Amino acid sequence: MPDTKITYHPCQGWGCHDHCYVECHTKDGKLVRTQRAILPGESADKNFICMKGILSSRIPYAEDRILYPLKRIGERGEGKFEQISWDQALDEIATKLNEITKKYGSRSIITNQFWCGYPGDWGCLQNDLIFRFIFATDSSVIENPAVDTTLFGPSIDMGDLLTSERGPLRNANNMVIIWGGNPLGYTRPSTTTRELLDAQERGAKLVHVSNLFDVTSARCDQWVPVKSGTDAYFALAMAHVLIRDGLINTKYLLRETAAAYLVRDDNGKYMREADIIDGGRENAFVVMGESGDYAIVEQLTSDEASFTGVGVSTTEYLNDSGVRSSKDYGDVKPQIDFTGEVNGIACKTSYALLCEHVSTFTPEYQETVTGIPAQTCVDLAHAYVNATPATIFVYFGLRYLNSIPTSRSIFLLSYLTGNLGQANGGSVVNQGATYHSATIMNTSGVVFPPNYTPDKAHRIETIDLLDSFENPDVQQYKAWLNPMGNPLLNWPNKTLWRTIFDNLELFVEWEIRMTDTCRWADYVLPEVTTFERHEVLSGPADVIVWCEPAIEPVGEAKDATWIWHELTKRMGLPDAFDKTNEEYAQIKARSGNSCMTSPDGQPITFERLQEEKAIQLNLPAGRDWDPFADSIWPNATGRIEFYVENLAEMGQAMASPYPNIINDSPLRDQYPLHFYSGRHKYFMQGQFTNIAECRMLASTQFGVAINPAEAEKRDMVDGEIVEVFNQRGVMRVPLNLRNDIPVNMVHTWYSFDETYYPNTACPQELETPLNTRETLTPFNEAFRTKFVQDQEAQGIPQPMIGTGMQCGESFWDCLCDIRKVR
Amino acid sequence: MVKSILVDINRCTGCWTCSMACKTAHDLDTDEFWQYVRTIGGGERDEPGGEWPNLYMKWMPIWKLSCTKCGGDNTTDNKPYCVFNCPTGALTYGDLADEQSEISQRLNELKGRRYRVYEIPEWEDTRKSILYAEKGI
Ligand code: SF4
Ligand code: SF4
Ligand code: SF4
Repeated sequence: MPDTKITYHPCQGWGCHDHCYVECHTKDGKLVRTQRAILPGESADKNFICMKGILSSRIPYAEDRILYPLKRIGERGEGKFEQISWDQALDEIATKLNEITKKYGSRSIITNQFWCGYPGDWGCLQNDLIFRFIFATDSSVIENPAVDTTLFGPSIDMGDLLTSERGPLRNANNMVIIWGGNPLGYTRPSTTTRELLDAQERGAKLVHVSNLFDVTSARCDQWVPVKSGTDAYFALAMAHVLIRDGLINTKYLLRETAAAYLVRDDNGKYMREADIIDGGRENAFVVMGESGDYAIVEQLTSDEASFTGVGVSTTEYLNDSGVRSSKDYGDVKPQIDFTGEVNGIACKTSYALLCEHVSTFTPEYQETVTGIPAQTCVDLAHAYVNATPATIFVYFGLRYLNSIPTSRSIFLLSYLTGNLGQANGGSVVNQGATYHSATIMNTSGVVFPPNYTPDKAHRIETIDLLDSFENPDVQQYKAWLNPMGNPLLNWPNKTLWRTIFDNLELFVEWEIRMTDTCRWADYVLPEVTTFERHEVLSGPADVIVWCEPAIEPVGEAKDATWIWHELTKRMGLPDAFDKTNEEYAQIKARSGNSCMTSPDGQPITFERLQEEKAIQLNLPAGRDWDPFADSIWPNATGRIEFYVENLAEMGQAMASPYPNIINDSPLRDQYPLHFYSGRHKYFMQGQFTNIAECRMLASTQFGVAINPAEAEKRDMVDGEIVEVFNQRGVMRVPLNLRNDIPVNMVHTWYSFDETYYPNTACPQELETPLNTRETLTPFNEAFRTKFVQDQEAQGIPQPMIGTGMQCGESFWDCLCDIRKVR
Repeated sequence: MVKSILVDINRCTGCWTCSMACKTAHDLDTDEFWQYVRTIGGGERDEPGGEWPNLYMKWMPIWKLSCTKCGGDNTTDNKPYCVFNCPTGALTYGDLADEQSEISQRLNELKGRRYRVYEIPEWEDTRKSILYAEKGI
């Protein structure tokens, strides 16, 4: 009888954010197959997997698996290593860390905690252990790279980073506008894809607004090709049409937004009670009634409504006149479109300001910028209203410096039409892979070591790191520990990384396989895969899952807990990590989350979890939860503010087009083409690039693709080796001539690792670096400051505030030209 | 009795999950496929046909004669691995002779919605009992 076993694990490709679980079949100690895990109860139809989930079974046995500790013997980046023992590796690393600490202080040690692409993401044990390490050693953690910033529109308008999961898609029957990105079949290839296709089969029209024709465009009913980085113009022109053609939902605007609130002409601020009445309050605002009398509206707050997403039906808050019954407009029926004076102060409603603002964004004008025919703009605006309740799926994929203002422009459409937060299939899905707050696990038993005090550890910005290299008088940074992530492949750009590495005295990587980042490390430590360790995860598919090792660690691979323990022990902190990986997973599982019952009302104990492996959680807001169904918004007014007074000075009070590199940089004259580097469907970021089947399928798309018209101008033919270049580098790769690529674009896939580019630059070498002064715009800087203040106000320890993403995202914001090989 | 597979082309995203599920379940070599995915478009894999901006693309999973017409196992609800793992719901499996079977019901539903239903000729080295349904693409 063969010894067979079935276990559940997160797929190795969680960087896609569809966050699937695979069922792992082990025979005689060897992992033989991974397949779709059938989760219990209603979660069964929330877990599908893509081909990477299937090929996860190959991950532990990949040819480039790191089997024992490695020490660099060549230059950094050369990838030359010798095998050493664990003891030697740990002794040498700890000695060096102690030396560095003595000389430069413990804060000179930086750990990279950016989880993306690590199985389990921010919910995994490794993430918790990293915090435990930095708190135990009072060291530093680097901020996150600026990615996925299209999510952040609500942070501005609503005062909180609200992101929705798939909930509203499950009820979408009329229309889903997929704006940016390529979720169907590519970047959200499993359950999200299925739910979008289900909506389509129920009769919902799927519309894709994007700059490239891809799987999503192919599967949608309508494709709206937009010139890269100009999406805000299209959205604002749709808003123009909604207002011009009388299609706005006044009731929603009054109820949920600050549309009727008066804004002073002289200073651009919302008018306060204190502005017009002696002794008036600063947190009470002024509206003008239909009768011509003003009224005071207090800041809305609610003890019942949770800002973190417990759904409350907005209708509960309505009185007969269609406005909120709690702290509403009193007897006054507010004028939404008022311009005039109150007590001698000239003012107008924020809605009147919005009307003025969008008046210039005519459908005809947007056509000159976006390339989308004016009639398409008019038709889509009307179709969107007629399809109410309709959903906008605004995906991460607007990776330009202007992504946050663009996100606000798109959200604006949902306010004007009242589609946001409709319980019945209308909303905005800005899928952040954030799950209901009740599913978030209590990690304090793992995260905080015995010696924790709130002054321990610090999150640093990349800019400060770079500045420190120039200035010996400030905190120096000398060691970089990289327990997750492959920044050299996944984050642009290599010049930035070279600058960082050249200034480091120690760079340690722990990984499952040889990556681009490993090749730059001084030491590479072999880590176990998701199939060789304990884990507990909660959230995705509304389940809590207990993962047990399917197989013994391959080679000398160790789990992160063991590595942290052995390291801190040698650093003089023997008690910092006093449990095993399994024990920490148990502590976390026992601490649970705030909805530890199954739908039948039975409590979820650790023992039960250990027995059943996966248990459906009884979510307080139901499985189709939508955070935008909340009705109190945590900002100054308590309503959605499409007019944000603090951004008035920089011309961004309302969603407006904001400059990006590809359309507005003076370098356009020199480098006229958009260097558009997408992620490859057969890989998941830097994962699976070592799996033979994935490499085989991806290989036909290696190189760069351009429209034949661009090739003709440059006398190029299909298949020739060409040079793609900009101020940062030259990449020599084969040329594909493709009729589906728009003119002005050079398209490439950037997931291929650097071994694909011998003696030439990789795509990320040409890309605009993230989190540097080059991409930190005044708008993003203001936003980052506010974001940090908001998080601090919520009591989040500084090292745990997810800063960095608020810098301008620039993955796709990059210029180049292409020429024949010189 | 050989059971059939119904492919809803309108739901297929060309993701190759079916193909890889077959390969790992049957331990096939890297370059051995009992089932693969064809792109209908510009010629290459995942390349749209037409000229920008009038473009089209769809996918067609193909079961080769080498497909053993397996029925998965009890962990896949006795559905073939390719069908069980398809994330989009493009594949339905079962006995067409049984009117109550999932596949018969799905076929009737799609026919009722005026999907075109066809098979591909055997000279393409393809196994029998695969039905394709599509509409308007
Ligand atoms: S790579 Fe595929 S299987 Fe893995 S998490 Fe993403 S969608 Fe799921
Ligand atoms: S039916 Fe079985 S053998 Fe045939 S392709 Fe599907 S998984 Fe492979
Ligand atoms: S049939 Fe399903 S699994 Fe196969 S390519 Fe199509 S969508 Fe993917």
